[in-house]
Amino acid sequence: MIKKLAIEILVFLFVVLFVYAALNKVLEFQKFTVQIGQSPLLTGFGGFVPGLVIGVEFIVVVLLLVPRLRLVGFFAAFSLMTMFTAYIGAILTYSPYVPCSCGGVLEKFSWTEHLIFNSGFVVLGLAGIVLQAGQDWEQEFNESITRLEK
Amino acid sequence: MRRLMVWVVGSFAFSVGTVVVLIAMSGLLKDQRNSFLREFPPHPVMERDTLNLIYNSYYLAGGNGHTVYLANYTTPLQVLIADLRRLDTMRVHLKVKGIMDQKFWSVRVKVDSPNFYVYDGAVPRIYRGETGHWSAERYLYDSTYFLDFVPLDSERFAIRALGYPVKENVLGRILPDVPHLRMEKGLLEKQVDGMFCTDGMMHYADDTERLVYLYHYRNEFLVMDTSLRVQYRGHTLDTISRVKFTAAVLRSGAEEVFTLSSPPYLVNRLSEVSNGLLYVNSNLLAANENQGAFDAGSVIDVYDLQDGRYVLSFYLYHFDRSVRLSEFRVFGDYLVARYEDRLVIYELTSTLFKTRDGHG
Repeated sequence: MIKKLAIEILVFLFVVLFVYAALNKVLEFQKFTVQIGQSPLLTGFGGFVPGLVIGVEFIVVVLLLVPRLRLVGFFAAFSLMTMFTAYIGAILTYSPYVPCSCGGVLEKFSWTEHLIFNSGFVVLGLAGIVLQAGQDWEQEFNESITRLEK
Repeated sequence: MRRLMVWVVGSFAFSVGTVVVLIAMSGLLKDQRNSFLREFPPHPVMERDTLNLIYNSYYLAGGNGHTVYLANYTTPLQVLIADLRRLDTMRVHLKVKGIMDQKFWSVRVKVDSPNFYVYDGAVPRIYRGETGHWSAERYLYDSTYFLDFVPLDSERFAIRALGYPVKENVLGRILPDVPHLRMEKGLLEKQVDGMFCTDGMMHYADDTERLVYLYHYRNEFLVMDTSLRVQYRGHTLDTISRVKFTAAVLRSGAEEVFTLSSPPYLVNRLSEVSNGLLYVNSNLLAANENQGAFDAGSVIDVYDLQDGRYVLSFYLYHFDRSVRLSEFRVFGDYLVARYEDRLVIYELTSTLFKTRDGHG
């Protein structure tokens, strides 16, 4: 029961985060595109990166909301947050200057706060994977028991 | 359980790997060397003294061979006077007539002995006074907005302003006789957007009566007389003759935000004109340069303003190995460098700094 509740809370947190982040990027798409362009790590890619980021964020939300795909969703969320965190780390380490391209209040974060915030979500993603996998496994076990009993 | 672990580690590796690929493809790790050469003669400058300013809000407002004036961003009406030899400091409070009646955006102070100026190009206002009494009154013809302000003498000023309605940088002069404002369109060459691509630094050398404008994002500088007639266009060492960035305008409602849409690709970061020489802190690494030395300091390239010829280069190393040069000025035989809240005084010891038309 507690595990189920924990999973629901994690799903809720990730959905809120990604919907919020993606919507902000959509609403200020031009600004987001410009900011991505300013990033020295992404200059070579140009056009398709902004759309890709927003698309992936929405896909993760869908995966998390469909119960059967939730484990995949947690993996995707975990991977995406890891990627964002590694990106911030790379910017802080290698870039001669620091551009910002996160929407809304996330833009107000300092880069170190950002790093901590993101790392927190990486851990939450990992927690989601473990809990959900346990849940799925339990369910599978129960189902096979039920089949056996028949 | 084992399979789960493999998947977790796999996703983690994939994500980190993606960013590693991005880093590798970005060229940030690549050798950033350019095709030009620098010359580093031995010991062109000697560090003499260091002064702790305590606050990093001070900036260099002017000076001469024995005194340096520091103004303050946060307390705009205070000036710190530092003696270059004795290293003692004195604080003066500027009296500016009518300054309390006006709202300001960012008040700046410039000291050009025996005069000093308090100005804000966004209001716009220019106040002028003498360093003897440190009290200033409004200059009569300050009706135009400006971004940069350089006194030619106590009556005439060179400015850089944004044109209207086309927002492009234009150089011009404010004069005591009619017309009071004379803008010279066509001096700065637009390459991308006209606003960022023509951004640069303006200096006046009163010994040779030359006005110099050095672009931030390309390898060119204009040398002009006091009527803004171009004497010649000089080039810095590097090969960046075309501005490399792209720019964009973000519109939401009536609001317009002008911004770059690519990395800035800065060429010339800081500069100074003194004794017939142009000093440039370049952002680019030369072919014969040591990356370690380049990263440990700020490289300064020196050009002779007589003909734009390159003279030499030297480093101003980071203060405490970590604090990068914030700004620098050259007064007589001294180079005064500010590193956040520290002032370091160097002596220009090389005879190469003494030029034909400088007074050295």
